[in-house]
Amino acid sequence: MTEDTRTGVAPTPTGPLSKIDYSERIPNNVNLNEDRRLQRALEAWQPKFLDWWKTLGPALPTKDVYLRTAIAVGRDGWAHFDHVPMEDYRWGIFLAERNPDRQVNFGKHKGEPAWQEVPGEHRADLMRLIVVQGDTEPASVEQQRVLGDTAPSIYDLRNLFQVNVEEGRHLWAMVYLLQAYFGREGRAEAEQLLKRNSGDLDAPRILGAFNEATTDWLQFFMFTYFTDRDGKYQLGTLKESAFDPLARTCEFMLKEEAHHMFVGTTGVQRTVERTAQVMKEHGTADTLEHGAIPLELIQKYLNFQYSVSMDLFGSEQSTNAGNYYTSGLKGRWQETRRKDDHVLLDETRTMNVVEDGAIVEKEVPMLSALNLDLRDEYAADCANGVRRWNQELEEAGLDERLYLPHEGFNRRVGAYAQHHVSPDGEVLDDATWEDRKDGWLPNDEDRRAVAALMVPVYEYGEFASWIAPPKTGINDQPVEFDYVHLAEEGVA
Amino acid sequence: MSQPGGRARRDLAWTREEHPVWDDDKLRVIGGAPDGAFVLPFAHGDDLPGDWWRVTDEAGAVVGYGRLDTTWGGDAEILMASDPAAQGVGVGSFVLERLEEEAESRGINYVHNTIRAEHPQRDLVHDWLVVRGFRGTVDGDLRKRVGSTRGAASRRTPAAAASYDVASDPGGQAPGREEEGGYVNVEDHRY
Repeated sequence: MTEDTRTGVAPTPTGPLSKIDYSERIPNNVNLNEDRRLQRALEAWQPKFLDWWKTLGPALPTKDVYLRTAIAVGRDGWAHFDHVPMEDYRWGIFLAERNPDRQVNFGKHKGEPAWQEVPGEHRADLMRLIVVQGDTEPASVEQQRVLGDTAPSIYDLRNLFQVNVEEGRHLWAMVYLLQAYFGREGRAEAEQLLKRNSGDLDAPRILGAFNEATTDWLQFFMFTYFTDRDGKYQLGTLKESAFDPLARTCEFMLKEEAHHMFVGTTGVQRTVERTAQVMKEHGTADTLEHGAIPLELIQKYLNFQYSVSMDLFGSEQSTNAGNYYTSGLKGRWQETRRKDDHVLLDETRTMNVVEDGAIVEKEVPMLSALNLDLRDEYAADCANGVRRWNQELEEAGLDERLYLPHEGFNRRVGAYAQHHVSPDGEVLDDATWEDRKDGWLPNDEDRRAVAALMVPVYEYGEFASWIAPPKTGINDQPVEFDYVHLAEEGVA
Repeated sequence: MSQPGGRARRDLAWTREEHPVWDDDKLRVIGGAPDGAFVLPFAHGDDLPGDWWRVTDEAGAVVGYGRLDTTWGGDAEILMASDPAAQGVGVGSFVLERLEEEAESRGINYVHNTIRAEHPQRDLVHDWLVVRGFRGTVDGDLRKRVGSTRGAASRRTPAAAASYDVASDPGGQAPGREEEGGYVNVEDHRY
């Protein structure tokens, strides 16, 4: 959607490079040492975070991991790579450089200076947005806690840990905002972000999808491709916020998030590449007995993760989303590049609904359909990766192709929630859905079959049978580089 | 999930509106709330965003409404309204319980409510919500774990999580070491 007629070219980045102060107990580029009260509050939270990391972070014992650490927030040369014991990773507070001339770009405050403090009238809504965003960050770390036990390679293990430490840093980003701008309530919410845990019945993570364990690496790759991408689009809307500290925080988080997309895109691509090799070599689509994941199972995993990620956007129509926009709290993806009035009071668009067993279009006010607007951008982006994966099949001379299911497939939220829709967009009755759903979604048997392939491979440069090696290593290092040094108890 | 036409306690029925519009019943029930309780910028026949349900009594009269409005990541705002002529008979509690069930069926674990600053009975509404499990200040975001007033045993059980190897976390406070403290709930954590 980035090249359609509604958006122009990307704006030229402005602002100087902002160095991060690593001499402080909490690395930051927000002059934390000038606000003793805030510094003390965050230093009091820090050991609780570290306890959480030790308790619910990665379970596999390691000595150190080749990790990137942010050193500046400018466009170039922002990260440093080195072997670091994970518990010594320098989680900190990094905001993109402030533009003193920044204005609100949309809604009823359009044209006014961006807010450096929280307006009282929007305090509750802003805090909720930050809490919801913050809740997803540690949730995924908890979900992926045991994946290290079945890593297909040391290279992939390192990528998992990089994603994990950066999701932890994104929690820091949200906690900084809560503690710096929302007083006692913000501090209480910061505590709650550590007390809610994925899978805990009394205090689960906010969204159901973040309470189910990531059980295998194909699911992890699908999660980083589809669900982390969902997070990317949400961060993109918060990056437009009139509340400048939130916008700057999210801008930098997006930079880190790009690596998570990379892990998902290339992870699935390498899985498909290996499957295609086996299909060609053995002349069969049943690749399980040859140690590769059948395309049919990859498609089922894709169907599941895409559909549950679509639910994360909420209902197509939402009063709250419209209110957030009008109030300046949350914009649209690439708001400043949109070619409209950025107020949207008179704009309309179409959306799909199910009527009398058929999917039909209806026209709705644009302001009410901003969740859908964002979801459409997301869906178009998702299609790019699928095209890339299909290139592997094409290059292998195979006719099979992966595809994104219809937007109404397997939905629990929004216009399709009360209906059953097949992956190709056919509205089904309950009996037909029950009869056919196992052909579209992974069942227990499918997950067991994938899990059986998930044996750990910890020799440098070696890879599990179901995944092809990457073309290049991380930060120009060779693929066989010693990205992770396992602790002795982890090797045993 | 909603059960169109089904009767519940107090002979109230909960029915999903497939195509919610602003109509005479909503004007009477929601519009009958005290001035300032809601923002109602709708004209007769306007489509309404979000998921809506109506509550009817044994005579078929509409006595309440519930709305669920979900945005990113489970940010689920609820709206509850009961007929001014049917206050104090449990319509509000009925709506809240049904909305929690609807949220749960969508994989949402918490519902939110914000009381408008202009609401003339703000403190009263806040107290009503707190008694029913919401937490938060009167001028802030009120949040409730869905089903928390029903007790953990009756809630949906999350999908089975992978087993956790206690031995792999020496000195930690992970599940399996709950007696050493930490953040996990001894009874319910299922790692």
